[in-house]
Amino acid sequence: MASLHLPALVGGINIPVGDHIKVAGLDMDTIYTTALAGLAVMALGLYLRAKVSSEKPNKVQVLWELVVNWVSDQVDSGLGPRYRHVVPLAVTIFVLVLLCNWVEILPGLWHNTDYLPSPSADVNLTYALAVLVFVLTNIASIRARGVGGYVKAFFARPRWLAPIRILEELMKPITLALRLFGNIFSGGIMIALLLALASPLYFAPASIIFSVAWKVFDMAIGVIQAFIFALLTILYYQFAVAEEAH
Amino acid sequence: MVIGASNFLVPNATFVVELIIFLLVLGFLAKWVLPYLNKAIEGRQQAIERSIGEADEARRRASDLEQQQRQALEQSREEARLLKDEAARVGEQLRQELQKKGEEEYQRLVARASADIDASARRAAEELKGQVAGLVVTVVERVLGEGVTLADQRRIIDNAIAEVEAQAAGADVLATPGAGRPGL
Repeated sequence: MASLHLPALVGGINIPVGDHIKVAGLDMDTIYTTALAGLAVMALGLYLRAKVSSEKPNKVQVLWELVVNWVSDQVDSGLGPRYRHVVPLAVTIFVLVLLCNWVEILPGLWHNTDYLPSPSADVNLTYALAVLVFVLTNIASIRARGVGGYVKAFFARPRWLAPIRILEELMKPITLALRLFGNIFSGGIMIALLLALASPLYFAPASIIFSVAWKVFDMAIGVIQAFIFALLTILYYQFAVAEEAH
Repeated sequence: MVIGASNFLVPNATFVVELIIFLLVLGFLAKWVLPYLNKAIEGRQQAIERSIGEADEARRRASDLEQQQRQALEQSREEARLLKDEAARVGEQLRQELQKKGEEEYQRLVARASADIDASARRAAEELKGQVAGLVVTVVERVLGEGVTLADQRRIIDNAIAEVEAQAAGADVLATPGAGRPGL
């Protein structure tokens, strides 16, 4: 088990890193929090659908419209109206990843820390999303250029760059996944560290203040990372269907 | 239930479950939520476009009305200017006509007065001539102490009249003593 050992001055405790509640080889805490975030997204969607109005939109609808309009603008300007089917994908990525990042704010149920860990701090979610984006963008590239054009794009002049181009393409899902994972995972560790500081009583006030401050900061990071993931999804689509090489 | 971790950077079977959850959420949003939201957004955009169109139409109508008002004002000014010019022209014409009529009336009155004066003068002269003739005859008869012949009477009267007329013609002649005396 990976763990982070704190010095005796601040409690001398071990913070477990990357461990999960396993049931039949599945990370149940990740599945539970992802499902929770997914249900929250669907509940917001249902609320929106029930109250949707052209004349007087409520606050939830305004937030949904903000996201959909931003994604639609990005897709229209970068890809064109032919690729409007990318909008639901990018919107879902943004909203689900955002709520997955924010799920940390809820109190924990099964976990060995006092908070509910974000599913984005588990590579299984981030890899799943990144691999899906990788597959879809490559399918879009093949459909736009044909198999010959797709392969040819890697071997465009200068040809000696072909290995780098292939490597770059393969690295895209990994960097996409690990960027999100790393940011949220480190945020979780920071919270665990700050909470662990409360162990000797004289550190308790500082622990509370810094924990709250970090939590607010972490929520902003959650928005930024969701934004980056959705934006990169659209950009990878754009690169995939562009006339030039990768 | 086991709590544990191997290499946390390596995915496991949770990957598939996460993918399924994401696809479920994606399908739900794509089918049940986003079409309704897009419809509402399009409805609002259409309403906004309609409002913009109506505002443009109202602005265009206001501009047309302003143009019409300006044209009407310009037309009124032009008509007023024409009326003023016409009034000035008619006034001048009337003034000239009245002046002409006045002059004609003046000439007519002067001519009539002149004719009246001439007639009066002639009548006065005739009367004077008659009186002078009677006086001459009377004087002659008294000087001669007898009657004169008709021919003499006639000659004396004519001479007297000529003398009187000569006196009347000029004040200088009349002023000269004995100059106007008829010769016998």
